[in-house]
Amino acid sequence: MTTGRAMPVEDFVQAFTAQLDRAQDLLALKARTGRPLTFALRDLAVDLHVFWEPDANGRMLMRHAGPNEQGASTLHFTFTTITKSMVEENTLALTGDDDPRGLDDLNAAQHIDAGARKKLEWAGIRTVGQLKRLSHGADPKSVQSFLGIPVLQLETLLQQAAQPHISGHEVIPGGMGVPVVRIRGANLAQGASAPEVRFSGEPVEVLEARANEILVRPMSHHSEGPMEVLVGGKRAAGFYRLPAGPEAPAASASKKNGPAEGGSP
Amino acid sequence: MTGFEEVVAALAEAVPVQAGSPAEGAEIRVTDVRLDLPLEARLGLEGLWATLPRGLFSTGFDPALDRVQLTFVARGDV
Repeated sequence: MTTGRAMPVEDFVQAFTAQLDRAQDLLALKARTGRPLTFALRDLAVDLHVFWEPDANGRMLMRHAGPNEQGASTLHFTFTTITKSMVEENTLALTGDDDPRGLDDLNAAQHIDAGARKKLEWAGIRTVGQLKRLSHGADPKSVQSFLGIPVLQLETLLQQAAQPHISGHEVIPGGMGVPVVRIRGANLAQGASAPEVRFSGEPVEVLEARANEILVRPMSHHSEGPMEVLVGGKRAAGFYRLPAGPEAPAASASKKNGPAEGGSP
Repeated sequence: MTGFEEVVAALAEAVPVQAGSPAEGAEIRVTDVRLDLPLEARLGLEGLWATLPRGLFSTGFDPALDRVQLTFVARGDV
């Protein structure tokens, strides 16, 4: 019998969970065939004999023990059924992240050594918003003590994470046929002071400003060009392009920036 | 070997969920079942390939058996 390939535990758990979902579906199908009473799987535990092997990146992979291989570890998995609401309670809300940029979007992240990156990953920090929450009100030295990430690297990351950033824009219908531009990004507003927004070098009316989006009303002659957001003495830049024509487009036809139209501080 | 989900379905099928009937004077319904079984398994990208051990005699070259515990609960409109 072949022992199969070595694989990360998380890959196995995901694949195995999908198998358990299919098992529940198979059992549920029996109920639909007219049987008044059937079984559903409530709990499951499985003990697997595995050997651990590190890959080139230091990640631990598990390989199933082969015939007559002695000294294998026993990996004990326990699964239980959970409801949809329990899944939602324990799942990261992607829309709730105030700065969903990946850490790799920060230029400073390229200078973080592999060990520090791995420690951030282990701590569940994948987005800039999560990094900010981790460090909010905490001394970087304390974070270094807990996570083992050098203070200087952390401070560099945090400084760049605090810069205003434009990730895209879209045009939405405004009142009386005048289009409104929604600028998406991070750190686009600070406290009560409204940011200044310029289209092609000209200030435009800021209707609403939040950290992750600003609504502005461009002037009638604005069609495309550079845009800037100035907030707290810092600047983010990008490019805007508005559809031609007298009428504002529907929100579904909005334009989102690609890399060429994205912004960066 | 088959996908582990098929093993689970086959085990559920093998356990009677009820026996008898009021017409026969008694009816037994199983509310839950716990199985604790040895398992021959193999890891794959698709998850776990598995089968229940097929023989009673060890060849001396067999892999160490894994183990699975399942709890089934009865569900239905009765």
